[in-house]
Amino acid sequence: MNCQECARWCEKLLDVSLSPDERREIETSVAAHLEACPDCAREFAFVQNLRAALPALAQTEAAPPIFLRANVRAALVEEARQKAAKRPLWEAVLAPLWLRSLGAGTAFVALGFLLLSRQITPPQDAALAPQSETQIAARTQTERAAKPPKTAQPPTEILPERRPAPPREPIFTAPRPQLQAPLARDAVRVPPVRIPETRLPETQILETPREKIAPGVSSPQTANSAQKSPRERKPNAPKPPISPRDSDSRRAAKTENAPFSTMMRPENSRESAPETELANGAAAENSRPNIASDAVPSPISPPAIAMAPAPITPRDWRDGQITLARKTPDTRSLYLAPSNNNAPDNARNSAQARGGGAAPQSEAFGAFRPRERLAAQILVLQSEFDLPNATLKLDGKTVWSGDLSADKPLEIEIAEPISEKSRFVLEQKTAGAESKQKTLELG
Amino acid sequence: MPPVSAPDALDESQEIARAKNGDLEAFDRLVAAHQTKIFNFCLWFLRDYDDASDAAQETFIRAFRHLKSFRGDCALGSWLSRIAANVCRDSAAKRKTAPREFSSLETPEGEFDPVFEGESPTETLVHHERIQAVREALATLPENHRTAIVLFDLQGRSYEECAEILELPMGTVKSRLNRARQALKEALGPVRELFS
Repeated sequence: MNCQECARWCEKLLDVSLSPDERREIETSVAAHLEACPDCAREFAFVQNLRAALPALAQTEAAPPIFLRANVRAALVEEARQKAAKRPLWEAVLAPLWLRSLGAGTAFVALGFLLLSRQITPPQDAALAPQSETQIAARTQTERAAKPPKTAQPPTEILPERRPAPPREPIFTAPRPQLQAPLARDAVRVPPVRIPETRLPETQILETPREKIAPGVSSPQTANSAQKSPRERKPNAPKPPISPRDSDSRRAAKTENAPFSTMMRPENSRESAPETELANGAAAENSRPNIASDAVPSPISPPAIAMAPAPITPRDWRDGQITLARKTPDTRSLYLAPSNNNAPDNARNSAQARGGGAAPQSEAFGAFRPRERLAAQILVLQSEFDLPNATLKLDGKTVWSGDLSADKPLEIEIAEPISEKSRFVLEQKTAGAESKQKTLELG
Repeated sequence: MPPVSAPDALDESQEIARAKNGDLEAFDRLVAAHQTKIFNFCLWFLRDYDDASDAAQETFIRAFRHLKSFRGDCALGSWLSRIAANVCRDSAAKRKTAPREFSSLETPEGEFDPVFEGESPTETLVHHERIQAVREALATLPENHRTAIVLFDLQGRSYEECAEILELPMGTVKSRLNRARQALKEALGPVRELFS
């Protein structure tokens, strides 16, 4: 054995995992060389002492902190408490697994019932959802076959007369509002109604109630008038002199019997249609959809069932509403002013508005007297339609003028005192010399 | 708290099963059984008493959180030591970025003092000096070498356990142990006469 081999044995001897027999075998193997080689003997002694020191060092393990267990336990208890606090109530109630499974099963069954109930919803409810044209046509035919006709004409006589649907207006492509449309209009054929060549006064148009324009078609009165109209409105029948009131009622009747394509026409075209018709005569009449032909529903025309006019966006004074509301309260404060000076305008006005006549006077303050000061208040003017060139007047005095947008309420700061007798008037100058006015009540 | 003796394998598996169901008492008994080794491992790793205390506490808290993932493929002590090694690495990284204001690198005197009675006072003194020299030399070793010697030579873990704890192949563990012993011998060079 040489020194290198002895060094390798010494390295093996350092392994504390050696069994006593293995260690004894190594000691026996190197014993002869160690007697002859003092360097290897010193190395061997060093390794043996180091090997003995390692287990001794292991016995000197430091004791863990006495608070280690308690700290761990406290931390885990606190963690469990926080988890329990964060746990939702339903989870705490349904803590057992079988209860959770039961809850999940119940939710699944409820979902199934919900889906099933939606599938067997009555047709009028189901028809409220947006539908494709083929679905609409199929539903229309099915309902016509199922329901008895309300007039003498059976549906079978109407069906052959159906003409191809007119080009759909873009407005029908939008999702339809969920309203129930009248069914009576399906089976009624309305003869063409000639619009009398009478120009409707502007005031009459403005005073037309909103109910006559659109959604009233579903009322019972509408169905009755529609049934009477074929007899009463024969084209060859002599026409009585038309008064403005009659023209108004005819306009309403025409609107009631008009198809949705007519009703859904944009407001501008609806308003300008009579004027254009009167001006251009027959050409204009041809260009306008025939009411009678439109009354006969075509397979893909907008069906009467489950089809309702889209909500009409207010476009003008007739349809839209204008509101005026107070945003900030009427704040008044007293201050002392020299008795010789004139009171501020707003204080004087407020005193007058309250019926007090002159500003209150008091001699208690000598040369000064208390006066009332009115803080500027903010009113909110809101319109459902665009209102350009508008002017708001308070008791004849212009407090604001400009363009009012339907999308954005306008805040108007008014330093004038407002009383119950104050009168707000909103004016709009039109292209002509006329102007529209409306008295607003402060809300 | 009453001292708890190290449980045997059967008892430990039962305690583990109870602790998995949230039994804090059972887990507390497991903590009592393993806290000395885990704490000393952390102490050898971090060489700071306070940091080792925090690391040991964090080790047991993490162990309880993830106890359900313990499948029993290895001994619980090995699994806890692996967690402790990860905690200590995190702690050492934090300590590098945020060093302590004053270090307590030296553990309190007497904590490491062995209860050794030699044949003579001189022999006892030499024995103590050798142990202190090994401790100081071991503290100068790199962390990977020190950890290998602590696990294998001081705590008496097998190669397989060391491989599990250090997440290394067994061959790598053996070679690392050999290098660590050579490094320890070199570190003991100045006090080599103590071991003659």
